[in-house]
Amino acid sequence: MSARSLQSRLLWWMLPLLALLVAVNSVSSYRTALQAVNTAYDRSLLAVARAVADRVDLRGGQVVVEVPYVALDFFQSDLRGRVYYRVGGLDGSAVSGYDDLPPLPAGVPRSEDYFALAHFYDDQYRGEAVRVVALLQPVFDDSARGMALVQVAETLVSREALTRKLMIDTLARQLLLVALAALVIAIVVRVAFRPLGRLRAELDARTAGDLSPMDSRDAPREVAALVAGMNDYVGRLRSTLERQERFIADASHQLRTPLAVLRTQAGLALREDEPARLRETLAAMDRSVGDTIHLANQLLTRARAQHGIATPAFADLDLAQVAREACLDLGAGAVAKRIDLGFEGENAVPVRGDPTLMRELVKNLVDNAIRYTPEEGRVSVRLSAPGEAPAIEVEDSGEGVAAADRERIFDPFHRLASSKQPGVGLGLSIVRDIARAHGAEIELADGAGGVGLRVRVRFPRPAIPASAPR
Amino acid sequence: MRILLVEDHVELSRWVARALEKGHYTVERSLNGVDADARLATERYDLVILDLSLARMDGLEVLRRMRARGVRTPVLVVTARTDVSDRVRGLDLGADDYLAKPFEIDELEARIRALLRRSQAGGETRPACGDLVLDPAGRAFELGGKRLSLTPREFAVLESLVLRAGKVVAKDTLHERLFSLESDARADAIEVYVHRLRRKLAGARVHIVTLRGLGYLLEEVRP
Repeated sequence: MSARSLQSRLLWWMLPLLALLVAVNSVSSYRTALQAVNTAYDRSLLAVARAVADRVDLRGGQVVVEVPYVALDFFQSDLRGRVYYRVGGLDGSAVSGYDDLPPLPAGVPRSEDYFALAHFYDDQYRGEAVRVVALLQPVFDDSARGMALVQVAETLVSREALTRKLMIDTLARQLLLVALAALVIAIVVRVAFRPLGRLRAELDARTAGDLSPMDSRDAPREVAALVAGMNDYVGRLRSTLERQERFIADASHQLRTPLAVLRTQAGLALREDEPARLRETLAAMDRSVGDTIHLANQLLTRARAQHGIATPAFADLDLAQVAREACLDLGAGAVAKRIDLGFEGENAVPVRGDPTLMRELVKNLVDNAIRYTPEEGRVSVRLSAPGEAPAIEVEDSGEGVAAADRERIFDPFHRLASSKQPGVGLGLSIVRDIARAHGAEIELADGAGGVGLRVRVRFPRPAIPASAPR
Repeated sequence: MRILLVEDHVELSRWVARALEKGHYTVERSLNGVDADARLATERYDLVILDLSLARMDGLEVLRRMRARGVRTPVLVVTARTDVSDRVRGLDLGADDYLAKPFEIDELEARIRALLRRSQAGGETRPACGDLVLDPAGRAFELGGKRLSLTPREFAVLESLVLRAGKVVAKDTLHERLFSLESDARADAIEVYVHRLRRKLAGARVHIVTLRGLGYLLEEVRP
């Protein structure tokens, strides 16, 4: 069991708390037992004192006593300690027993437990701790009456031995209790965690490709929630994987098409004898290669964009600045096609976005427009005015997109059947993925005068910092 | 002209070599980094075309060792890696130019010509576009062999454009270049100079293209 497992965590939390409870309980039960022991011993001590007191008499004004040594001996052997006694006369002087037994100290209260006038107290005698009972015994004859004081002291050997034994017994019992409790907890925890073990075993037994949902029917409520969460996650993973697989299948197909064209052209070129026609075929091959290169570049761009979408690094950006730089990069391509590329955005357009992804979005929008606009055409890039929701709009004078096709042009590899321009249909899918990652909306419309296409990407307004003036 | 072509893809190496030989260059082919390093240590070449992903020794390492030996031969780095950091490292280690795969053979030859011209002119280049040539010494332009008479500001605009011929030069860049000290210059002041330059370039084999709201591009006139 690892130190971080739930089971050991439960044990590590429960055992110290249990031990604390047991310790408190031990102390209190030990105290109770000790009190009972003392009471019992005190009673025996009082019995001896009474036996002595019974033999105390007053004769001619003098206290006399006939000490019952049998009782003392019996008591002494029973206690395994020493017993001392002293009987005091009416004037307090010793009449019998150990003369030097200390007198009853003042202020010791009378015990409430007995009818007799008994006082119990602890004292020292002959260098040993002793427990003493002092019993006042009324004595009288014809001439006088008074109180004789009977003191009986015992050493604590026996009491201490019993106390020790009690303590050891209590501790042993409680330790046994703790051990048993730990065992019970361990068993209960193990049983309670069995569904988790089964879950793990089921997961272990799965192959890496098995993304089917797990069965949570027999699982307890807590584990069922976990299984449901896991099934939900696996479901999302599965749909992502399916999308990826579909994309890879599409991409391979798309790669094979220009390669097939190329091979056909090469085969034709090999059979061609006439130099002029050979050149013509080679020029066509060169164009096919150009298409393939563009496709490879687009696939790479998409892979990078997907990676960026998975781990975006948002920052405050000026969309106009990003767009201007992208247009400056793509300007030469537009000029090569004699396309009139225009940029309308003098003011800063603050947005929140990932700089790399944002640049990729604008580049794909503008590149797409240039690509699908015939030579001598017109492409305009417009930014939103200050105060409006941040947006970029790219309008071209190409052949446009019919309203029915507008949703599908964002699908990977979707190209319009009517399109004669070289392209692979990835640009807008990249734009859509990046726009989604930024919470942006894409709108498509006809270009000015019903010619061409106008793509508008509208971003959410960036949150205004609290300190900024409105 | 002797060129060392370091490229570990056999087919690509063979076809590039054949294309360059057609352009009357002598091409030696090296198929891995260790071999290239050994050749560069003993032979002299006019130019090295170096792929970065090589077997046995990385292209950047070949470049580093070559420069460490003090060999100043121009190096044109060719790579399929698209990482900007690789390109920057290559240039830091002493590469003279950089071309991404796949490239067109025309583009490769143009880069080779430019590098050879630069190394033979002792590091000096003569930026040109069409029949317009910037004379590096006289700080003047020649158009079709004749000196073009320009005001200092016209010269500055045309110089910016010719140094980045074929690429868009941002309006803001030109504006800063011309009016860095005059804060009150109007934003469209550049247009005046471009207009005058267009008149002076009328009939030449170069022209200035306007990209609305973006900037200008100097381009050779296509037939």
